[in-house]
Amino acid sequence: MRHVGIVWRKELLDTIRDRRALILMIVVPLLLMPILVWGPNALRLSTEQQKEQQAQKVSVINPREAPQLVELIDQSGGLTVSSVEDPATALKQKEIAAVLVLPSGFSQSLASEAGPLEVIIQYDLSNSDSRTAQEKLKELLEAYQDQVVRQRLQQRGISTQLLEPFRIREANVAPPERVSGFFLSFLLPLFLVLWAAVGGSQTAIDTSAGEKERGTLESLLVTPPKRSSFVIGKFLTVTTVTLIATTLSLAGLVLSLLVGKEIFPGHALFELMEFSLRLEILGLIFVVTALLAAMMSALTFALYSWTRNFREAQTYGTYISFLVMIPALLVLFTDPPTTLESFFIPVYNSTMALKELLLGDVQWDHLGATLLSSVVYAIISITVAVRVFQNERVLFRQ
Amino acid sequence: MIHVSNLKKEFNGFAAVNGVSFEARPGEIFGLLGPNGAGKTTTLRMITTVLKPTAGEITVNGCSVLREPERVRTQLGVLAETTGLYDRLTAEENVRYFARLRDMPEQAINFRIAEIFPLLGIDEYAHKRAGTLSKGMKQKVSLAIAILHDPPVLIFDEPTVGLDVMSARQVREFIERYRRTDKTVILSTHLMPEAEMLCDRIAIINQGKIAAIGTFEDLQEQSGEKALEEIFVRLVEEASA
Repeated sequence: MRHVGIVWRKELLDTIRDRRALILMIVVPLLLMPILVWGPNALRLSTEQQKEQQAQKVSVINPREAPQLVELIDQSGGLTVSSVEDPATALKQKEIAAVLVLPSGFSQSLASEAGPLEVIIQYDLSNSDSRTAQEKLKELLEAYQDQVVRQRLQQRGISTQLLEPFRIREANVAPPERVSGFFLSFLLPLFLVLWAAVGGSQTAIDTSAGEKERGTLESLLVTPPKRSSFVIGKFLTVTTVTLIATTLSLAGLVLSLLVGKEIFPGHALFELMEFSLRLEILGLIFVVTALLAAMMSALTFALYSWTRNFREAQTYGTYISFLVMIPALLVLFTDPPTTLESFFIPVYNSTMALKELLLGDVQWDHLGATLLSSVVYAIISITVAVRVFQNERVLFRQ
Repeated sequence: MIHVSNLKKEFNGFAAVNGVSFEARPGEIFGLLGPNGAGKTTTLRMITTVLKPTAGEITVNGCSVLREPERVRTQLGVLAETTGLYDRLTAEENVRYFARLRDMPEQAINFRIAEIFPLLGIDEYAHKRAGTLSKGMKQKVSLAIAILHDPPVLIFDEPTVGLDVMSARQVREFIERYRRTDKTVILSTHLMPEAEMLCDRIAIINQGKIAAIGTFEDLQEQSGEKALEEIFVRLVEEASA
C-alpha cells in the first residue's frame, strides 16, 4: 500500500506539471458548462430580440388601391412602408425586406364583392429578415381580410358570431421540464459522461504508453514493488484527475445556473434546474459520475498500457470518446429503454441515471443497478490492467 | 553472485537466447561482449526479472528469478542504454522516486544524495527538470538511481552508448570503483576497449550462444590472438563453424 501512495503522489506531481493535462483537467471543464448553459440562451435572446424589435422596410405596389391596408401595415410597428423606384431590385439588394403587390382594380373588386383577386407577397426565402417581413405581412393581410369580412356581414345585418362556430384553446400538458428537455436529457448527461470518460485521458496515456515511450517503464519494473502496486497507484492518479475534472464541470454547472438565474430571470431552464441544485441531487450526480470515472480510468489505463506509444494511445482515446457518446445520442433520437436490466449496461446506465437525476426523477433501483455495476466493471478493468502490466509481450511490443 | 544455467528465451519461435550458462561472482566485473542483437539485453532482462525465461534458471544471491522475483529485484541496481527519466520531474525528484520505491528511509536517501551527487557532478543540475538535461547528464542521473540504494548486484547494459567522451569516461570510472568490492557487477557492451579495460572475465556472446568465457588472458590463449578484436572474431567464427 505504501508503494501505491508513492506512485500516486509522483504521478500527480507529474500531471500537475503537464500543461496539456492541466488544461484538460481544470480549464476546459470549468468553462464548458457556462458556455453550454448560457451560450444558446444568450444567442437566442440577442438575435430573436433584435429581429422582433427591428422594423423591416416593405414596399407596396399600387398603394392607392387599399389606403386602409397600407396604414394598417405602417402602424403595426413591425413594418414600415417605404416607396422605392424599383421594388424588384431593391428587394434583391436587401434595401427592402418584402414587396406587397396589390393588383390594379383591387379596391373596386373589394367594393363590388367580385371574385377574389390575388395579392402577392414577394420575399427572399434565403434571407431571415425577409422571412420575418413575409410572416408579419401575412398576419396583417389575414387581419385585414377578417376585418373586410366582418364589415360585409355587418352590412347585411348578420352577426359576426357566424364566423366562429367554436373557439380553439391550446393547453400544454407537458411538464415544464420538457421545455428544456433537449438540454437536460441530452447535452448535460453527454458532457458529464464525456468528461468522466476523457477528463483524465492525458494522464492515463502519459502514465502507461508514455512510460514505454520514455524508457522509464523498465526502470520501474526492476524495482521491488509488485506490478499491482504500480497499476493501482497509476489508476488512482487517473481517477483523481478525472474526479477533479468532473467536479469542476459540476461546479461550472452550478455556478452557471446560479448566475444564469440572475442574467435570464424567469427563464424556464433555470426555474426547473433549481431542483438539480439541491445538495442531495448534486451528491447523487457526483457519485454516479465518480464511479463512471473510476471505471473508465481503469478501462482506458488497461487499453493504453497495451498500446505501443503515445500516438497509438491517442487514436484509441478518440474512439473511446466517440463510443461513450452513443448512449447520449440514443436519447436524442429515440426513447431508449429504461428497464432495470438496461441499467447494467456500462456507460449507458450512467447516462440514463444522470438524465433522470437532472430531470428531477430519482429512481433508486436504477441508481442502485448503475452504481453496483460500475463498481463491478471498475474491478474487472483494474484486474485486466494488472494482467496487461504483467504481460511481458505487451510491455515490450515494438 | 549470479548463477545462470542453460538459459533460453524464445520470441514467437525465434530463440534470442539459446542455452546460455555463466556465473558472475562478487568482487569481479563480468563482461558480456557481443554484437548488437546477440542476446545480451535479453539475457540481462531475464536476470532483472523483466522477462521470464522460456527455459533454464537464474539465481541472484540464491534467489530464483522465477520463484522470488521481488526478492531478486531488491538486490539489483540497473542501468541500461535505454534507461529514461521523467522529463517533468527534476533530477533529484527522479532519484528520490526510485529510492522510495525501494523502501529507502528519507534520511538514508538524503545521506546518499549528498554523497553521490557531487561525485557525479549532478549537484549542479539537481533541481533542473530532467527534460532539459543533456544525454550525458541524464545517464549520470540514471547511474545515481541505479546505485543509490547500494545494491549488492549491479547490471550495466551498454551504459556508455551515445554518450560524449567525458560522460562515458565518468561512467566507466564509476563502474570501475566496484571492482574488488563485495559487489557482483555484470557489464554488457559491444565496445572492445570498454570490455578490455573494465572486465575481469568476459563471455563472448553471439546469436544467443556463448562462444567463450574467461579472463582476457584465457581468451588470448584459447584463440592464439593478442588483441580483443581479433580474439572476438576468431572465437565467434570458431563457434559458428
